[in-house]
Amino acid sequence: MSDVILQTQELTRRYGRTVALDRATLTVEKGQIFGLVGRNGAGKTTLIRLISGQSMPSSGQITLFGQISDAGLNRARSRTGAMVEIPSFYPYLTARQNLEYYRIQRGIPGKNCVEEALELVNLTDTGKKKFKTFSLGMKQRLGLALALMNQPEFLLLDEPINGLDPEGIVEFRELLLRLNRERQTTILISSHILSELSALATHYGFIEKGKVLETISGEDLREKCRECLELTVDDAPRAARVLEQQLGTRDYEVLPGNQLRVYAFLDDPQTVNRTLLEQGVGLISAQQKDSNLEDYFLNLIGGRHHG
Amino acid sequence: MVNSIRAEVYKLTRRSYSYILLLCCAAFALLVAGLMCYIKYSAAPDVELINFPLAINMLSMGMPIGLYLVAVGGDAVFSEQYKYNTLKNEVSYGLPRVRVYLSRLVVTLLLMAVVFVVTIGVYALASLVLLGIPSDAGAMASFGKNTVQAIQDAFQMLGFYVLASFPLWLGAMSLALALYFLIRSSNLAGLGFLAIMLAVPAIFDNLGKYVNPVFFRLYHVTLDYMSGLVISTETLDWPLIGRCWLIGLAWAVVSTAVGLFFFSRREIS
Repeated sequence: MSDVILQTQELTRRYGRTVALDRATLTVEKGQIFGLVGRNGAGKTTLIRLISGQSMPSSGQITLFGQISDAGLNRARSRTGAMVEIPSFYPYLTARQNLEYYRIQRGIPGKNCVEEALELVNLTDTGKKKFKTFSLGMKQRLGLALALMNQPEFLLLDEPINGLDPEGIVEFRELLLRLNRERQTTILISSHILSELSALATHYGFIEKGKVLETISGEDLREKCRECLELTVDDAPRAARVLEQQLGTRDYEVLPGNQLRVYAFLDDPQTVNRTLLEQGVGLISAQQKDSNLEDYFLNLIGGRHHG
Repeated sequence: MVNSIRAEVYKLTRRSYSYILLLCCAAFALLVAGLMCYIKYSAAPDVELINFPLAINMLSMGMPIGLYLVAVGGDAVFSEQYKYNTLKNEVSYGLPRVRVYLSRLVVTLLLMAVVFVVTIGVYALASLVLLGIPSDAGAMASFGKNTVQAIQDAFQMLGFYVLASFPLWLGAMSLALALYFLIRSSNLAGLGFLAIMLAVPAIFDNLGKYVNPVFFRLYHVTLDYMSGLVISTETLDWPLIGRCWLIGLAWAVVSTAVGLFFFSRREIS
């Protein structure tokens, strides 16, 4: 049995002449926390709306839990929980009444799930307070409660921490990590707060102007973001030989454009520079680099890769 | 489908709108019965003419109200879903849009049935209490038949009017709901409903009179025209009932098909 939860192939959504999503192809596997990274208007919400059935693709294909037909996708969506954009509920109903309404509609047996979902998001004490009087943070929590009520195997979360206070953000992060760990819930989460995303995600997809620029595992991203000495030389193969034979390190990588990333000698870069020059390698530039998800993303959309 | 209907009923019974609608209809029924009572007791000479069977007979005059009241019922059930953006919660869970749509239609029908029963019930009860049942002599003077026959005939005619009007209400209700699903603003949808129900028949009527009689054919299949035809009928007219069902159901089927077609492709934001 395949572990692929979601696969999009060449998924495109056009609004008139505007291409909101341009041939997006990505795969989310079971157990992953897949972070969608992109600027406002990059296409993150469009992608999530297409997956959740709120919008129809102009072309391309969505496979969810192995289902591709319209009816199959609808069945598959009942195994998901979604929170897309600002949570929306009936303003004249309380938190419990809103969840109870959806519980009945979804045919979820037993009323316990409503209480459990409210407990998970710390909304048990809202009593007779109507949804219309909720703060944005409370609305976000209720939105998450609805997404979790059916114990979904796959969570789709679009900017879920908007409106949450710092304490709420920490609780939310811990909740998602717990769900992922204990229930093996797969999560697709979009956020423009990259520090939060980097604390959660096991995999990343970078979107810009409707295009998925890159998908990468957290491990590979960390590797790429490792602190390093980035060198531009006149002869990269020769420099590589010097690193191995003269300096005794294989902890480096060769990039296109006669560039090298050296992950050793970080506390003594002068030795590397001097040895290369002594061995006749022309050193054009050398700089020490240390980047995070944010830098990586900014460089990616700027069209330049670096470590 | 049953779950969706149950959920809609759950929501509706927790919304004050539904109770206000019921209260307004009951108050209106009481007002009409009260006015008839006032006329009865302030117009001494013909006091016997205004009585319970007459009140039931006069119900036919109220049948066209149902044609427009269904839009209010549809509004109560649809609950401004586009304003509150709640449809996305259903669609993202994979509930088929056909089910989302039809459950609203069924629940609107249920709500309107309750409104109908309450309104007619309050009106009949108030008329019975306030206007009283005429003596045989009074009934003979008013209706040319004895009391029992007069009451039986009044209810028979009421049954006829309801039987003829029901499909027209159903057609109007389907149209109203289609507009609520198609137009983002509930107010605009309501106005659109009134335009189709009132302005379009008037336009066809005038085009038939002044441009080409062929437009009368279109005018004669409008719900407003059919409703007028029903209340102007004084005897049981079975062919008319058949026509009402044909036209009413045609409106219901076409409106629902159009509403479903566009709603199933609609972007839910």
